[in-house]
Amino acid sequence: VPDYPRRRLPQHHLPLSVPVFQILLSLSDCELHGYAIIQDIRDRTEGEVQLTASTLYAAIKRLLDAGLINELETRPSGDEDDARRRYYRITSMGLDVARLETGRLERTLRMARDKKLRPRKA
Amino acid sequence: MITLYRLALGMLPAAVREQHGEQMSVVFADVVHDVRRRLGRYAACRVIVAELGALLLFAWRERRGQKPPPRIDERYLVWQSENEGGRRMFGSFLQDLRYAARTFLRRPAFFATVVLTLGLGIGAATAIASLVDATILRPLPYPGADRLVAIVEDSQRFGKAPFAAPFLRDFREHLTQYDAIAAFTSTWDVTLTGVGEAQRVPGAFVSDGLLELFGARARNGRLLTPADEQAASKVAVFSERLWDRTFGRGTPLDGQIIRINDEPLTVVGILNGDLRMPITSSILVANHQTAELWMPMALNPFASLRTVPVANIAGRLAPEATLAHAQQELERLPAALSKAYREVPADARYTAVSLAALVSEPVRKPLLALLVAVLVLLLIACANVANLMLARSASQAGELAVRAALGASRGRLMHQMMAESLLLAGAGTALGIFVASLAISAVPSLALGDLPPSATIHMNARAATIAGFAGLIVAMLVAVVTAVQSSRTAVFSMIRDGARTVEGGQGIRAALVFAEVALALVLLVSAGLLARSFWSLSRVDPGFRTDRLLASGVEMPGRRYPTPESRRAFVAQALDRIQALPGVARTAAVNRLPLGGANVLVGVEIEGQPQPEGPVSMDRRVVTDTYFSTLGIPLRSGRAFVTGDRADAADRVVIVNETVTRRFWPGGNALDRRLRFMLRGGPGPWLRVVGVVGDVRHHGLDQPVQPEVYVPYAQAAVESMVFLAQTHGDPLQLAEPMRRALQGVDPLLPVRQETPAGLVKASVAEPRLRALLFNGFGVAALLLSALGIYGVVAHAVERRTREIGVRMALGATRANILGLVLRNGMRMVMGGAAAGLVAAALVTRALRGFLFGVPALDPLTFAGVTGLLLLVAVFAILVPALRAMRLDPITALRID
Repeated sequence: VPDYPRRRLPQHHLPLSVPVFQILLSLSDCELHGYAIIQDIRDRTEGEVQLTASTLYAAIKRLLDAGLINELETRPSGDEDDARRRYYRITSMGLDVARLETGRLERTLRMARDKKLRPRKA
Repeated sequence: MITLYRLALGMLPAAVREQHGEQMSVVFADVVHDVRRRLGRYAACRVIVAELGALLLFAWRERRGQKPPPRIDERYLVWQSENEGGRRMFGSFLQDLRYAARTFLRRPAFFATVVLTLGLGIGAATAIASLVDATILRPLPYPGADRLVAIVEDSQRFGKAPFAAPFLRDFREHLTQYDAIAAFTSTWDVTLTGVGEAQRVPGAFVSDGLLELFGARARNGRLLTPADEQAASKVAVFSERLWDRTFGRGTPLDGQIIRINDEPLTVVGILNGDLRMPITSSILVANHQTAELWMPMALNPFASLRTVPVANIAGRLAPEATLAHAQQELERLPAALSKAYREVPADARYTAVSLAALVSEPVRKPLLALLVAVLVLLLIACANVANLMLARSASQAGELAVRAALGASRGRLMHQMMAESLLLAGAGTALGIFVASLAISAVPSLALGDLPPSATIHMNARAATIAGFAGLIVAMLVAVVTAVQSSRTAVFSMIRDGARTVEGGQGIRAALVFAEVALALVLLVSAGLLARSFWSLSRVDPGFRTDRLLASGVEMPGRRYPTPESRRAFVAQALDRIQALPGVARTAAVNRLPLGGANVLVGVEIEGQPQPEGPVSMDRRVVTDTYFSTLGIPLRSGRAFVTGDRADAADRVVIVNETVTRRFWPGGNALDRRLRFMLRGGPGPWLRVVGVVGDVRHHGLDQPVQPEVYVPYAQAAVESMVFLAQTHGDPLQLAEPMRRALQGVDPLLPVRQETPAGLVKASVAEPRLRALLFNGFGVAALLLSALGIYGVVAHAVERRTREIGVRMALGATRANILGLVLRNGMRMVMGGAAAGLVAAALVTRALRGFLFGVPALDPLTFAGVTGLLLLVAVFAILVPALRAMRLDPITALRID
């Protein structure tokens, strides 16, 4: 039975689950707190991906354990900032993973296009 | 909800909870709040369910992931294949489920029994819990419902009573703790004419601001204003439904004039939707409909009187005010008001109560009793399922031992059992939701009486959530009991001994049966008492005949029938026409039907018996000459009314019931004594008693008979009359001819029809329903405990097969064996029954309020029900006992 190493290379994380990839996307250009991540994902996907608190933190825990995101020690300034909330930031490893996943998805998409698959118009 | 989620977070491993728990509950609150605001309550409930599911999964993975890597040998187990990485954990859970499903499919009888037991238990509990939730726990469907209060007078005679209409002005003037105060009457049936066919419509008089207080908005036009109130404007507001029904959907509001009780009113507004009033019935008028038409309070005939309590007062507390402050302020009010008005006693007590509490008060106790009963039933069902699972795990022990020997860790086997419990509970919950939805759709037909307006009960997310939680709790209970039990199993010793079943578990299982029997007995005793109570209630003689009678009520509005002569003419003509119908034997008329819910008490002074505490109250009914013979009310002495008792006769006469004679002229003769009514304007003329008739239970079969005075219609031509026809055949056949006969006299009068037999039935509907439900629960409990007893005894017999064989080989007769098994089984049952009897004696006290004609500790019920339980127990034990008796000693000895 292989003993899985704690530190893995970025490519070992692929493929990413939908929540995990979406969280990385949300954090790729700014630091957000938990509820803001849920809202951001909901808005970007137009409601297609709706995370619950538990799915969010199940994913966040995995991301933290794998070192793909960090928890911020100091809070970004802002009036609406709530002292109770904790903010998260993507790590360089996390960015690498997200890029790799993007590439993987692109390749997959290209394959689908080559096969003349088009999404059905809603 | 947050607290619930926090509790559920306890499923997570402590480390994860410490790191993320706080954040999770913050985000959970945000999500639920946001979804509720955007998509409504239903969506929020779905989110909560999804949250809990996701959390369960999260917790499961975390806990699995925390375990040290599995031992290599576990992989050799046949039902486990390897998976990659993280998916392995969840995959094995799915496998556990699949494996459990396969096991159950191999034993469908076992599976069906458990799921059926759980389904019925969960279904019943969910249905009742939804009912309780809808009637007691859910806020009233008004904006800011938690700040709505009712102001009532705590009177010694009537309990919580409404106020006379003019008090509204005083309250608005003196009370400072409220944003708004408004008044409304109970719902009355009014006659709506002037458009289409004449119809009876439930209507209410309301002060300005009342509709707004309950969150109503106008779809078209406007609501009632202070100006309407001041000018007593002749206007009305329609509910949307009434408008659509009367004028047709889409008809624009254009100052339409309708006639209410023949009074022309202008429709000035249509509500957006309908409004359910919080209180529909009063002491005087029992009416379970909610109003569809609202008129200014000033139009109420009693609006200016300070003596007639018609106005329910409701208000919304100001944001900074509290109920306690409002109460303090109210307590000072009577003293101030009594100086201004002599009608207000200085020691009157006014109370502010939360509107929700006031409204749910009448149903709270019966519903809570039901809830407790159904939870007891659910407990019995759980005990039973645990029992079945234990029996199963005992017979499975061999298999488990083999697995353990092959290297399955104890945790692995536990997970397997958890999966089984979850699967059973899941299937049980699904069935339970189905059962509950059936039960809930039956609720409206159950006639539960005055349910508060929030009580629109249907199968919804809330009910499903309740069922889900019930199922989850059941699964956990069962899993814990089974797990504790099987973890004690010393697997290796079992394999070594070559046994296929385990010895342990009898203790727990006997305890479960003990509890089941005790709980079942408590339910059965309650059910028995309620059944006996219903039985004695239905044997009460109402005092009048109810068969082959049809009643048709009309209301003669004062404007069309302004004089007593006109009303008398209508009644005489109507009686003639009804009498002429084929199939009618006799006719009569009365102003209020017995058991019809409406009674008017009047003050009476009896000649020669001055009452220092004021006049005595008597029930007053206006009847025509033939009333007593038509209803079969026996004449005890004197005479009935005759055509000679006319309005212009100098001799004013009355007839009294036996209770009056007994109470006021004991031993003496009531005939030719005189009494008079104390009316608002002073005492009326003296009335001579010409006859005494038998008692009639006007107020309800379980209510004591009131002193009663009958007045001839000829001498008191009231506006509302109910015509009675005694028929030769089925009274309902006559419904249409009778309606036509009445409308032949006046086509503008709507007719309301009912049968006195139906009234009697309706008056006992609630105790009947209660007895039915409790007996349903009782029978279910009895069957479940019989099943439990059977299971335990059958298992014991199986376990002791070899012992029995030895005994038989040593000379024990079959009768000995039968006695042995019966004795052992009954010992367990008797213990439970004894405990149940003690518990029942304590519990039935709470039922005292629901009982009629049977004491709470009725020895007959206690003995009968215990006998029944023991009898069923004996049968449950006999089945395996007979099997033991028929054992062939040779075969028995060879077993194992």
